[in-house]
Amino acid sequence: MKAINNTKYFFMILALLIGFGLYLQYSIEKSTKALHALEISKAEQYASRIAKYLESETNGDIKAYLQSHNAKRETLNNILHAFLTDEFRYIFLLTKDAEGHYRFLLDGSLKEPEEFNALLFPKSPQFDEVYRSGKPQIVEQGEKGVEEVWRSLLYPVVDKNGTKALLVMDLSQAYASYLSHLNSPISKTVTLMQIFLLLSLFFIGYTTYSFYKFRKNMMIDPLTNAATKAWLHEYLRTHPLEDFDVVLIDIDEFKRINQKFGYKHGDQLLKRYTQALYEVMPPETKVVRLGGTEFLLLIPKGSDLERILKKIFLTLREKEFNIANETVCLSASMAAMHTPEGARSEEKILRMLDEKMLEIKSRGKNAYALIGEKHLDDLKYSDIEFIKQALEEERVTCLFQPIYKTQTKEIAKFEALVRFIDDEDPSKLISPFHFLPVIKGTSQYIKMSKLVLQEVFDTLQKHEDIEISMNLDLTDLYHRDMMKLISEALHTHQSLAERLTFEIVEDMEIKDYDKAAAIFQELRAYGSKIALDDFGSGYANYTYLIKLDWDMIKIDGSIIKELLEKPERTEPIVQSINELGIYFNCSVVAEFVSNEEIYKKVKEIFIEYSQGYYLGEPKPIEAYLNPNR
Amino acid sequence: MRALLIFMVLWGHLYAMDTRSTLNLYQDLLSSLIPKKVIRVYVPDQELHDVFTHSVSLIPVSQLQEADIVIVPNKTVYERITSKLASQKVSKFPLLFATDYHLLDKYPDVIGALYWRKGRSQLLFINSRLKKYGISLPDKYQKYSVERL
Repeated sequence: MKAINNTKYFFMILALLIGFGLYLQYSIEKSTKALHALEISKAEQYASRIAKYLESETNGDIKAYLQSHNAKRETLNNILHAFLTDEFRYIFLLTKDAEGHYRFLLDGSLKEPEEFNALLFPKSPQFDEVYRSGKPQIVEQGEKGVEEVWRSLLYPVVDKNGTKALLVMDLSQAYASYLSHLNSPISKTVTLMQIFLLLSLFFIGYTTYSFYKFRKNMMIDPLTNAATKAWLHEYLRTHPLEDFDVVLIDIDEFKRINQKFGYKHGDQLLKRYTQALYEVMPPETKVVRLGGTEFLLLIPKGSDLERILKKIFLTLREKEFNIANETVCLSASMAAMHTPEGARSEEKILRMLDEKMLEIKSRGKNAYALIGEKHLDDLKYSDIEFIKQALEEERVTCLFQPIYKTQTKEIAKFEALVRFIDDEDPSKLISPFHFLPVIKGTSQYIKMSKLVLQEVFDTLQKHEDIEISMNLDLTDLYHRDMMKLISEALHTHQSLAERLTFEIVEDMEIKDYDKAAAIFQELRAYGSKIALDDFGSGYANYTYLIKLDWDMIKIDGSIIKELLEKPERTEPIVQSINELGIYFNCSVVAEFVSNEEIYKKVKEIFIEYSQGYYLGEPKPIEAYLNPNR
Repeated sequence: MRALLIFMVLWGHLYAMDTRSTLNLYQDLLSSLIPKKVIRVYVPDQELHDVFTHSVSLIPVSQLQEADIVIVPNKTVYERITSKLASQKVSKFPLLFATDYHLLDKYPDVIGALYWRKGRSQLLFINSRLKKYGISLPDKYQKYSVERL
């Protein structure tokens, strides 16, 4: 868009400059013409008066009179001479003889005057025209065989019988130059301005040419003729990404080709590979070389992407290339996706394609894959703009999963689980899997935690007989702002705090146990409990039981799951954890109780609490407290 | 240096154009008067002589008796030429063509003239003199011939 606008402005400036230059030229020529016309008009006035005077002085028959009156002829010659200023080079009076030749009657020149009756052959046919018509005319001289004369004013001396003589007043070339010279400062200025304009035009033209040349180099990859990443960025400014399906292609093991045949042959092969790509892809497809051996295809939507992908993949895989007298086949890995509606950011799309590509490569390369719906959701819900807007609009809610007393199957408490609400479909709740990794450690995370805490306390306040546990990352507790937020919330809702359990999950190993113990103590100060989440997996190990005090241990789902798969090894472990819990006076919860068999096993082992989809999915709290509603 | 070279080339070109134009005029004119492929011209005027050296049909000669035509620039030259021709008793007198109107007016053996009048080049022949030498002008020059001055 910018380039198009620039072109428009460039041509506007160009047109203005040319217009200005032409206007200046027109103005100066108009002004010079006006000056010339003024002088010619003056000459006509002189000629008219002289003609009248000659008629009056020669009694009508001018030729006969002048022939017989030598003295009068001299006098009239002198009078004509009086008019010979810088403006007029020659002034003379001609008549036609019987043979039609022009002969001098009078001549105003003092130096080498023409004799009476001397012949003159005028160059211009206009002499005859004026003689015939009896109407004055200006003759443009400047023709071959005429010198020092700019223009000739031909003024006929006419009586009732027609033209008797022709008064010729030659305006001098020198005077024309003088007239032009009068305008010369303006003319010179105009010329200089025109030169300046011309140079400016040249400069603008050259700059524009250089810009477009540079831009072309930036936009088109010189080796493969494919578009570049810069082109893609600019193209997507005016063409919504959502209008295209995208395919990422990466040639496998191309480094080996370069090593074996050298970079020169490698480049040739890459060029031929791109040509082959052009041949197999659908029309209107844009090919972008992202770098190295990585290409992105933008395929207009509406076609069967999976079929196209397969066709490209198989055709290119089977294609044989001749290089350095050897036949080479190239394999490639390809990831493709239907770009979701509203997708704007090519970085996101490329990231997703890259992730898929990584997956393909790690599975052994030489394959293709189409990214599914789940990834598309991730694309939308992991967008920081979406997250920010959701938090701004407080589209955050909690679902509650019940934790049951295993033996009696009574709800003992609930675990609060955060969800975002979709902006287009409020019934769609978004799992933290999409957004938590994006906002972890940012101010947005604290904002979200604040909203979660608020909802948890509101729920506790609303339902006086329930307990709720909520997840907290250990690193959150190390964060001063986060800890301040929790402390303030607990302080504000002191009466509710004892019904709240913090389930500590951690991404990193606890190293400073004293600090962790101090934080736990601060939380317990208000009566809240501390649970060790996911015990038995990751960093949540026995050292934690040794170093820190816990109110609850939650056995990780990956262990509980094994109760069915490998009961002979899993049951003793689960039993030992249960016994440890009893020993340390901790409640023990079995997570991931997803079916009846697991529940029975857990019950047999006498795990105090159970949690899982078999017993209850995460739902709004009302679903469990008022099941009839 | 380059500008000077360009100036010299342009000036030389313009000069050559002027020379070529004069030469063409004389070639056409003299070949109308003398029906020969090569016309030997006696040209006392050095400038005009230099112009004629570029022609293949007009050959400037140094000996008066070899000339088919003499270009007479002024009275002095006219008198010198006529006295020389008379003394040498040449079998055939060359034609005399003037570059001055007054020579045409004054000397009856001058058949025509090419001269300037009021900034205009003028060509003039006198019919009776042409007839005397058996010269018949082509149509394009007829308008420049008169019975009397």
